[in-house]
Amino acid sequence: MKKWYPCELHCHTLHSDGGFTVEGLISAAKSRKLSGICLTDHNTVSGWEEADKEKELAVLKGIEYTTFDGHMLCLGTEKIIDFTDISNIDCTVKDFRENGGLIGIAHPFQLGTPICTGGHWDYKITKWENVNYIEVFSEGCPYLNTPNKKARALWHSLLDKGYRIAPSMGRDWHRIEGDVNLAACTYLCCEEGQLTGDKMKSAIRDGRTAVTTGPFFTFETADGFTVGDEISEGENIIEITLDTVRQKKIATTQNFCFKEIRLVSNGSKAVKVIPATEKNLTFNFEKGQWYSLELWGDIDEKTDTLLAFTGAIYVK
Amino acid sequence: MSKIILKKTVTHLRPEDEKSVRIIPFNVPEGINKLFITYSYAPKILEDKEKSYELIKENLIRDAGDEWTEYSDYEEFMPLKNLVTLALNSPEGYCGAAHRQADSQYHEIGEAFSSPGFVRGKITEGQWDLKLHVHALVTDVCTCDIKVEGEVAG
Ligand SMILES: [Zn+2]
Ligand SMILES: [Zn+2]
Repeated sequence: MKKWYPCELHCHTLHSDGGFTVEGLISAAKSRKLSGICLTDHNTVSGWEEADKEKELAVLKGIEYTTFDGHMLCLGTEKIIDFTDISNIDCTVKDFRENGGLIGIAHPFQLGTPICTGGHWDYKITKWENVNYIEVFSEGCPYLNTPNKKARALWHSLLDKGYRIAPSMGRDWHRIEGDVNLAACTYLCCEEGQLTGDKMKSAIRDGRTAVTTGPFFTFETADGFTVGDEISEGENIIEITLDTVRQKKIATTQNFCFKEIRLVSNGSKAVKVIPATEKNLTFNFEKGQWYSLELWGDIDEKTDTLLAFTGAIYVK
Repeated sequence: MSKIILKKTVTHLRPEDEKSVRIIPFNVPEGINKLFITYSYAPKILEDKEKSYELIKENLIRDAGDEWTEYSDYEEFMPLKNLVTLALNSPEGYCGAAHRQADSQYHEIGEAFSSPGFVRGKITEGQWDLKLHVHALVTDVCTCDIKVEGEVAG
């Protein structure tokens, strides 16, 4: 049986420029009712040893390569380099993948140097098949601000080209102070039972991610397929999950209003729109297309924005 | 327990050094069981408002594309800062970095303990490299002071 777990995939500690100790980060994650985190300090893995002591919260150990030309998240490999040794990004990415790692592009449209050093993705990747995920929602404003809009467009354009890339939300968590949208996270669909870093890794690798500003939002087809899977063309019923239990416990001062659910496909086109109160959706899925389910509505004073969306399901 | 100085150097960085690495090699003789690195750089911030305004505008035009005019409050990005982080390589390979804003740092490297950012490990003899990762260099010149000391075993 599969189950979705709320996780934070982008975290920093005192081992780089975060305000948390590793222990402090883990307890902050627990109080946010997260089931797992990725430890991704800038250019170092010196926090991994402390993370290994944790027995409850799942920790997927990684690193954020904080280069002059972009920030790249690398998860679950022992292969560690000095980023200044990167001469060809495609080769570096391939090498990490061959050593068991997962590759994510962090905040691709953040402003770069000198405002946020190296934060804007300037590398020219040609082999996108080696990239596992893209941070579509990032940082303090995990809804459709300008950088996130561009990241969504980039992700969709890569899906259009046939690459199977998962979306993620990365709080780029450095400290509690200044946090907004407290329930925002990435849900990962994993084998049910005690969550582990390895299970998180499999979920990201298999594209089983759902991004949210708060509500738990995902879907399953009538025959049991979900995000990241490949389905056959033709009519299919999608059963929608929209659950606010965790959100209400954490984002206690935020007001959410769910308005509509959109099924989005190639070219970022909304191919079906239904009220957010609907529990299922019937659609004639077309051959070779990708589909992502989106939840639109209001969050506090921000109206008609993207509140949550799933990774893609692919049609053979 | 006595300490010996393994390296003491002053490096001057200029705007053209931004996005480059400056390697500072030092030799570790036999019988050293800990390293101590004292590092500072100055200035940290760009005081010149006019120049800051220019650099921010350049940054926005380059990275925000057509939406660069959406960013109206340049003050929120000020003061602009130099960011020169320290990374370390032992003869065995990469030991990590102290990627943080502090302009004055002290690190210890050893088998039982290393300062946050650096993995702990045995201090092997041979050539080590300190690396200055020049992430941002916004002032006309930035002076980096580095001292590496070794603790002699026994
Ligand atoms: Zn980053
Ligand atoms: Zn980060």
